Amino acid sequence: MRRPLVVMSVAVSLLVGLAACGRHVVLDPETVDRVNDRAWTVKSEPHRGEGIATDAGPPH
Amino acid sequence: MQHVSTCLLFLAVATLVSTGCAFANVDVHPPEAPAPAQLEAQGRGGPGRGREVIVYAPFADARYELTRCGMQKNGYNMDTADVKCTEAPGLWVADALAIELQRAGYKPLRSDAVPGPTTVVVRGTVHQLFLEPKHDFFTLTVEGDLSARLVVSTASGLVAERGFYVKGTETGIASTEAAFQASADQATRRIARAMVAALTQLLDRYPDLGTPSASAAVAGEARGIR
Repeated sequence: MRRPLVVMSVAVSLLVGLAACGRHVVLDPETVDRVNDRAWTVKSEPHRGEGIATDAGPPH
Repeated sequence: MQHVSTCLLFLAVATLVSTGCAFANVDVHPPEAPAPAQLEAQGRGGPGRGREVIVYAPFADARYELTRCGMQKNGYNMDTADVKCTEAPGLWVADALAIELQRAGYKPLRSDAVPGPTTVVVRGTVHQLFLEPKHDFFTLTVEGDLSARLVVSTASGLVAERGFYVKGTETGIASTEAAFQASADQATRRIARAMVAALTQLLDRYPDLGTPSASAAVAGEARGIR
């Protein structure tokens, strides 16, 4: 009766070991949240008179 | 004793079969495009206000794995098969952005349009489009990561950059092709919406940008920005 127990133990160890050896490419949600840019990086503004920034917001 | 051995053998085979059956490649495609008339109707009165945007398609492809769009896994978390994109990710994301722009009331133009001084030009790079199942105790979730970087410019001197990273998830009991597709659709919709919302936020700071001035045709076809 001891042999099945030994076989079961080996099988379980093998399964646990195999499950741990896989790799992940997708990121966890927290990392996704962290790497997402929160704002634009404006490297250069439009020339004056051609879309210059305004505090008034979009025209309605 | 023989009965116990038979039971064990049956259990072992059942376990192997139920968890190790993901050996077939899976195809995923971009979300179905709505009819042009439907897009036009949705865009009326939208935040885009008819502003012209040239979307250069395809976007550059800077993914780590260029040969596939994801992996199929068995119950042991082993990489067993590939997920293939039926359309190049650079075109996939550029098309999704153009469709979402139309839905928001923008006027996306083809890559060959000649930009005027205030026409908004969008170029992009896809950094990630990867789908992968993650096994939970009883269920599994197909996660789709989609990342791209946009560079927005105008002839009048605006240059702005922003990176986007979104995740699509579809939970089920098996990593079927439908689950991969649902995850890809969700991630695509999310990144396109995030891009358009961000673009609107940027362009609203410069009210003159995007006013009709480009000479080439409008992307009237649902997938016609190439």
